[in-house]
Amino acid sequence: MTGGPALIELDEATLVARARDRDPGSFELLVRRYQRRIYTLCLRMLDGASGEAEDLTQETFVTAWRRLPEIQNDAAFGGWLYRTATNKCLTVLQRRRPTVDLDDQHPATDDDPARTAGTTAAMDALSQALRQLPPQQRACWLLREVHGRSYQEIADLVGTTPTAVRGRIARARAELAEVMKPWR
Amino acid sequence: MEVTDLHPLACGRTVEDVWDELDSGTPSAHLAECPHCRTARASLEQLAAATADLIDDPVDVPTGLLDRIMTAVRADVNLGRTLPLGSADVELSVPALAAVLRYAVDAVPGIRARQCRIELVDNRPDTVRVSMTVALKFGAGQVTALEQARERAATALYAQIGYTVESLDFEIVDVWTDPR
Repeated sequence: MTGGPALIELDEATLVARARDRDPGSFELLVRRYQRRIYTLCLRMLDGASGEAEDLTQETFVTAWRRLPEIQNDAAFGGWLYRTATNKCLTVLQRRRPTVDLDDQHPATDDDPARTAGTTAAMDALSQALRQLPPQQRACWLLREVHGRSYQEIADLVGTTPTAVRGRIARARAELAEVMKPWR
Repeated sequence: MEVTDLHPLACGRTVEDVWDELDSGTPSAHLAECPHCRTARASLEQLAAATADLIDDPVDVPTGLLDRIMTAVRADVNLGRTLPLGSADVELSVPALAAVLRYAVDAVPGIRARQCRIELVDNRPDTVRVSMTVALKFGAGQVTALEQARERAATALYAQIGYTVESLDFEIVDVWTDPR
């Protein structure tokens, strides 16, 4: 396949153009570049349900490969991945029965795969609080505060205005700050 | 905005007011004095610290995820467009041809091949017309580099596949400079 020692150093726009041209080697480098970010977003959107998060991450990338010829702007690839993954997560959350306590469904305190040795008490409290937010708010907050996406991009993604996104993030931030109090 | 109604502090301000003030970098005298605002500020700072931990938290990507994605992707490539190979009843995948051309072009310093269009000339089974978009390193000598790339690509395609390149047009779509 396309290769050479320099391939790993290729810029993203070149990789996207080649992947659009059906070059799997270039696409693999894009997957390597983004898989952790997309998987982490799915994991936190889905309350730590790692199996579902893995499935949605895989679906997101395979869909990206198939739809790449339609993504005309080489610089828009990352945004496209975030958009697709977020929408898939929101769909899954919608399908979950709202009457069921999510914590019962996905016990998360002890065997949370997102939990690592470095996890702090404050971070635990934050993860817990995130689960209580409405999915749209959670998506807006995660995309902005953890993944650094722009207000405009998030607005396009959830089908609203940047002002409304700012509102949702403000609301989420106030809710989360409320929970952080005991850890002061 | 409705938000301001949701989290009022006892002093009449809101959590968002406090956030905006901290964000602006010029906290007011009120913020320094008011116990309610100071509590809100402490919570927000705690939240910011926990968020930073969350950003740095090294989540493990499941083993084999990359392989599963790439298996699905490679299975999909086989559906790509094909061209006849010589007079024999063999079809050649266009993505594979493009890979040969890109590899040859990449070997020339200062050029990165991007997209590649390949068409048969007058339905002859062994002659193609190619157009390729490239990124070019900024600097002198790039016309020579493109000439060299054109030559190498034609040679590679003939040597490896037996196709003659009738024409190879480059379109420069990006220019880069080396960092530092």
